[in-house]
Amino acid sequence: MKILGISCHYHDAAATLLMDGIVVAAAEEERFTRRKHDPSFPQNAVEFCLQQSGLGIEDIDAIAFYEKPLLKFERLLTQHVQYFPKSYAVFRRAIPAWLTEKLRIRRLFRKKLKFKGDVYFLEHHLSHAAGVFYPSPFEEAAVLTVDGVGEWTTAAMGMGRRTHLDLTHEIRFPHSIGLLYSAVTAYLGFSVNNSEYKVMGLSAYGNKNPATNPYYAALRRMIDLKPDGSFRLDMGFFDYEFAERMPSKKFCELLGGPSREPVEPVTARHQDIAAAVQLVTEEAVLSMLRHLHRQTNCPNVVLSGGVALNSVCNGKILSETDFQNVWIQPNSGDGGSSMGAALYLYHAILGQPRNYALRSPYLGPGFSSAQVESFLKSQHITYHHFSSQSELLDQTAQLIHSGKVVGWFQGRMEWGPRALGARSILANPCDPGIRDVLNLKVKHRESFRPFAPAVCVEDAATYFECDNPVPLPADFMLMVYPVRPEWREKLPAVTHVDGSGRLQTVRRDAHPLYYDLIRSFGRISGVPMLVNTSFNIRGEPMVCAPDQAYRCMMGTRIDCLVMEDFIIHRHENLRDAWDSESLAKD
Amino acid sequence: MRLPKPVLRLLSFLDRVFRILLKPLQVVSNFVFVTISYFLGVGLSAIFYRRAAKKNPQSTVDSYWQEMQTTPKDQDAWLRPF
Ligand SMILES: [Fe+2]
Repeated sequence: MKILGISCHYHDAAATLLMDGIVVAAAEEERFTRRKHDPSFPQNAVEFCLQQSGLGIEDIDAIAFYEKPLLKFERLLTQHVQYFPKSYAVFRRAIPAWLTEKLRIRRLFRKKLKFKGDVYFLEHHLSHAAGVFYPSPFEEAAVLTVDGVGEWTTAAMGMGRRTHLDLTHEIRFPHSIGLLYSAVTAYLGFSVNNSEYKVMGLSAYGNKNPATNPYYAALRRMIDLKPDGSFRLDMGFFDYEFAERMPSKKFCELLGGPSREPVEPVTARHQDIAAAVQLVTEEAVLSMLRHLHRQTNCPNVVLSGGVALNSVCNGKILSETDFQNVWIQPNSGDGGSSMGAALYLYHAILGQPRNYALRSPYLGPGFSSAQVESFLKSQHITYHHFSSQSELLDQTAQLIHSGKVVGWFQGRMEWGPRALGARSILANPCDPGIRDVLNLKVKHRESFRPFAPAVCVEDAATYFECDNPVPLPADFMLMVYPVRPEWREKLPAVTHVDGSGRLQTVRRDAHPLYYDLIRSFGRISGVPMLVNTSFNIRGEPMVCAPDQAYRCMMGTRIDCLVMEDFIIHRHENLRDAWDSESLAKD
Repeated sequence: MRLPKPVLRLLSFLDRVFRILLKPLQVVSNFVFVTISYFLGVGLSAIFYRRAAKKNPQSTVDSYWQEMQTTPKDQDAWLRPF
C-alpha cells in the first residue's frame, strides 16, 4: 500500500511517501523552491518522493492531508466575527487565498497531481501526534503536542498503544504557548515562524533566575498557568487574533518599551526577555508533562509540534519529570505532520500493524558520485577524486584540523530543520576563532548564536552532562545539555555562553561515513568531535543539490567542499560573482 | 483540426493581452466582493456573537484542559475536510 502524506498552506510544506508502512522518502518543499519555510503546495517534494521510489501518481492508493481545512477556516471566521471591524485588513488579505486554494484541497490534488483516489483529512494535532508516536521506538507512549495553532487546538495530550492513538485533552486557541513564544520573538525584532530558535539561543545570555528576572514576572502576568500545565493567556496583551502584529500596546508597555527594530543592537534587556520567555515555556511544558505522566503512568513520552524543537526545554524532560524515555521526531513542526498523516491513515484508519521506527533522518534527495562528477565536469570545476574512502576521510579530517571550514555533502538530505551530517558545514570545535569565522564570514548571522557539536554516541557522556543512556532525540540535535566543566574551555566553538551545547549524537549504523570522519578527526586532534552547522547562509534553506552546495561555498568563506567522493577547494576555482553576504536575510 | 501556427500565435498573444488587462479589474472586483462579504457577513454575525457572549461569561476553573475526541464515529469523517 502506497500513501502520500502532505502538509502545506501554513508554513513548511512537505511530502512523505509511505510504502507498506515504511517511510521511503520525505522532504520539505523549501529545499526545492529555495524559499525558506515555503508554505506553497509541495509539488516538487511530491515529485521527488515519487521519483525516489520509481512510482507514478497512479500508483498511489491514497493521500493523507495533515489538517481539516474547513475547521481551520471556521476558526478564522470566528476570529473575524469576534474582532469586527478591527479584523478587516487581515480578512481582505487572507480570504481570496482561502476561497481559491486552501478550501479546495481535493481539487488541488486533482489539478496539480492528477490524483483521482481518496483524500483523507486528519486534524492538525492528530497528525503531529501520529508523526511522533508511530515512528517512535515505543509500543506504548504518552503523547504531548504543543505548537502555535492547528485548527482550534494549540496543545493536546493523549496516549498511543500499538496502532491506536487518541488525543483526549486539548488547550484551544487563542491560548497558545507557541504563539506566546512567537509574540516575544516578534517583540525582540526577529521573524515569526522562523526565528524562534534565535530567541532560544539568546536566552542563554539572560538572567535565568525567575526570582530576579523582572521580565519573567511580567510574562507571568500574561499567562494564568495551572499546576497541571494548562493555561490561559490574557488576550489584552496580544493582537494576533485580529492583526498581523503579535504583541499589543499593553504588552509593550508591560515590557518597558516598543518592539526592537531588526537593525537595533541586542541589549542585556533583550537577553533577559528572551530568558524570561524560555523560563515560562519550560515551566508550562514541563508542568504539562508531569500532569501527563500522572494521568497515564507510562514510562515513555513522545513530544511533537513546533515547541518540541525547543531543545533547551527537551534536555530537561527526563531530569525534571518522571518519564524514563523520550522520543521526538527530527521534523516535529508542521513539515513532519505530512509523515504523521500518512502513518495515521495506514495504522489507525486502515488498521495495518506497525513495522517501522525512524532511526535514519536521511530521507531526502541523494546524488551519486557519477551525478556529482558530471556536474563538476559540466561546470569546468577543478576537483580531486578519491577512490578510497579512508583517504577521503583522512584528507577531510586534516583540512578541518588545520582550521579549514568544510562543506560536507554526503548521501541523502536530512528530514527536518537541522543539519545532521548530510548537508553540513563542519569545523574544528577546539579552534577559538572558528566561531567568528562561521558566524560572520560563512553564515552571516548574529554573533550570539551558538554552534552545535557532533559527537559519536559512545563519547557523549565524556563531554556532556547528559542523561544516561543519551536519549535518541539527541541523534536529531533536539537536546541541549551542559558541557562538562573540564571541557568547556577546550571546546570554545561549541560551548554556549551558559556552558551548554546542543549536541548531535552520531551512530555508525545511521551514517557510517560521518561517524568515521568524527573518529578520523579524533585520531588527529585528540577530540572526536566536530562543529556541525547547517549548509546554507542565513535566510536560505539548506542546500539540497550539488550546484547549490558549490554556489554556497564559492560565495562564502567555506574553504572546501567534500561532496561524495570529491574534494573541491575554493581557492582552486574562479570566484563566483555571487556575494552571499548581500543575500543574507532572516 | 489544428489551427495554423500564425493563428495560434495570435490567439496566445491576445490571451496574454486580456490577462494583463483583466488583472486590475479582477483586483478591484475581488476588493469589492471581499469588502461587501466582510461588512454584511462578518458584521451581522458579530452582532449576534456579542449578544451570545454576554450571556455566557467565563467562569474560574481549576484546569483549562478541555476534553477532545479525535476518533470519529463513522469512517467517512476522515474523507471530509471538516
Ligand atoms: Fe502545527
